[in-house]
Amino acid sequence: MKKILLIEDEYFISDLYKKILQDAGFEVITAMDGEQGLQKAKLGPDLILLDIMLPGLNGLQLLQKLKAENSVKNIPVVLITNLAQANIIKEAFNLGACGYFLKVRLKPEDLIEQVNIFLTNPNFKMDYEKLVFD
Amino acid sequence: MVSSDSYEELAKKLKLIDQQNKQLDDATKILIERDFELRKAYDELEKEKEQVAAERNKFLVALQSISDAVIAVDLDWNIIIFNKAAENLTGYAVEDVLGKPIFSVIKVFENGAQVPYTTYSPKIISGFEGVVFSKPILRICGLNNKESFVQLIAAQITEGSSVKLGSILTLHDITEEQELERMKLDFVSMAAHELRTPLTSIKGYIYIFIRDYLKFMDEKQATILQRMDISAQKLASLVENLLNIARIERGTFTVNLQPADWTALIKGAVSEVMAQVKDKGLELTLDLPPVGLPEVRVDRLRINEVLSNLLTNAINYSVSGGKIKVAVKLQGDEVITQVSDTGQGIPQEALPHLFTKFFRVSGPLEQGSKGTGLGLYIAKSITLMHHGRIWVDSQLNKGSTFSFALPVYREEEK
Repeated sequence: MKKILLIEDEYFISDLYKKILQDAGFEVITAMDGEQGLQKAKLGPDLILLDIMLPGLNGLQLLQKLKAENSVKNIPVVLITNLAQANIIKEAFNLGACGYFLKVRLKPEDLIEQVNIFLTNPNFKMDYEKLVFD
Repeated sequence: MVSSDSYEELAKKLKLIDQQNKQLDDATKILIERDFELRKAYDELEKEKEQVAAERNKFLVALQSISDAVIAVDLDWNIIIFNKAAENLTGYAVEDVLGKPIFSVIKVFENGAQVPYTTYSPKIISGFEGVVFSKPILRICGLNNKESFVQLIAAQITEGSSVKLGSILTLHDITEEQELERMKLDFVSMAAHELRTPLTSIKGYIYIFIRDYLKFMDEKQATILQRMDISAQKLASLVENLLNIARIERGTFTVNLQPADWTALIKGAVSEVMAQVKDKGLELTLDLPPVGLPEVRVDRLRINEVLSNLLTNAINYSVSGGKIKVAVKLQGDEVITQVSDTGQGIPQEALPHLFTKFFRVSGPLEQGSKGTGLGLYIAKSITLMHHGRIWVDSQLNKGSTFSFALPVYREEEK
């Protein structure tokens, strides 16, 4: 069973995604802030879903730490946020994110489809130039 | 003894003297007249000089006291007039800039690109009088890069080249308005972003609710749930519309054109509103061409906003029993999509303003008035970004047909 780490501080959304992912047959670990996320990344998930607006370490800072840590740097990180500014998206990909989704536009069935894409091909990277959010 | 001849001679000479005296008198008279005229002319000149000085004073005082910056340059673009407001705007003192070329004093930018001084203060055109350059929003940099936003108008006069006057620039400071506008857009972006978070939850949980529990519900319960779902979708598109307006105004609204199966996109957009169509007791028919359409390139997300906007309008302005028709056809090198309804229609006088921002057909309390007045403005912006066009035909009490045309994609455009 594939393991997914979900780092999201909004409990309603965290619980929602957890349920959707579990229903689709994934094992889900959750973290509510950046520090916790960094710790739980060491449990070796196959994919990390990361929010940006987090208390303490924000998503981008956490991403930087994850990519600097040898034991976890190869785990694909997909950002799931409601921030859509082009400069933030660019920054995320520069820091090593492989995907970026806008929560409000991501239908639950699309979440599963996308997660499967990243799990099947851990080296897959979305072309951020083609993302048009803002 | 004097001979009679000499008398005659003498008399002749006397007469001549007399004549000459008379001539002298006449000349003196003329001279006195001339003198008088000259004095008069001199007095007039003095008076005129005074008037010119007064005019000049009036002009200078007006120039100094107006709130717009005025800068005039000579034919070599050296500054010859620089009023008080120009000092305030640029940070320079008049004595430091008089005689200096304008381009060494201010730098002018439009959307980040520098505007050459020969553009905003063009070379004098002989015989022309009036405005030679005008822009509503420019950024200028003065002393130590002091930044402001201005409306700039450059004018020239017919006598320009003979009095060595190039352009007269008037700069109206709009920095504060720009700042307010930016704050307004930032606020809209921020508020819309904050609204997205609870909306994500609402939409997500309704999704799970429908997926897991709809099968156990009776018809009444299912209707309630579906109405919640419809409302959440409506709220989400309202929020997106607010964000779109902020993007359009900022100039950050972009499209990513990709090949798309147009009929599939239409079917998708229609299926998204079917619940609302049924709920309102309307009938919707699809008229798609039987053979494949040529390729169009669209930004799926954006063009879907146009489709769902037109469909939602057709639903909102129809009453139970109304008919909505969605038709797609190829005409020339355009794919035309039409959404027709049998609703209340739009008054003729409102038609030209329909695609204007914030325009609404009727006042907020009048019957049938719905929406923010943003949808069609956004639809038009999106259509234009697809190099297309959008228009409407309508008859009061009979219905409306909204159409938009997208150009067929051609290989050589690549």
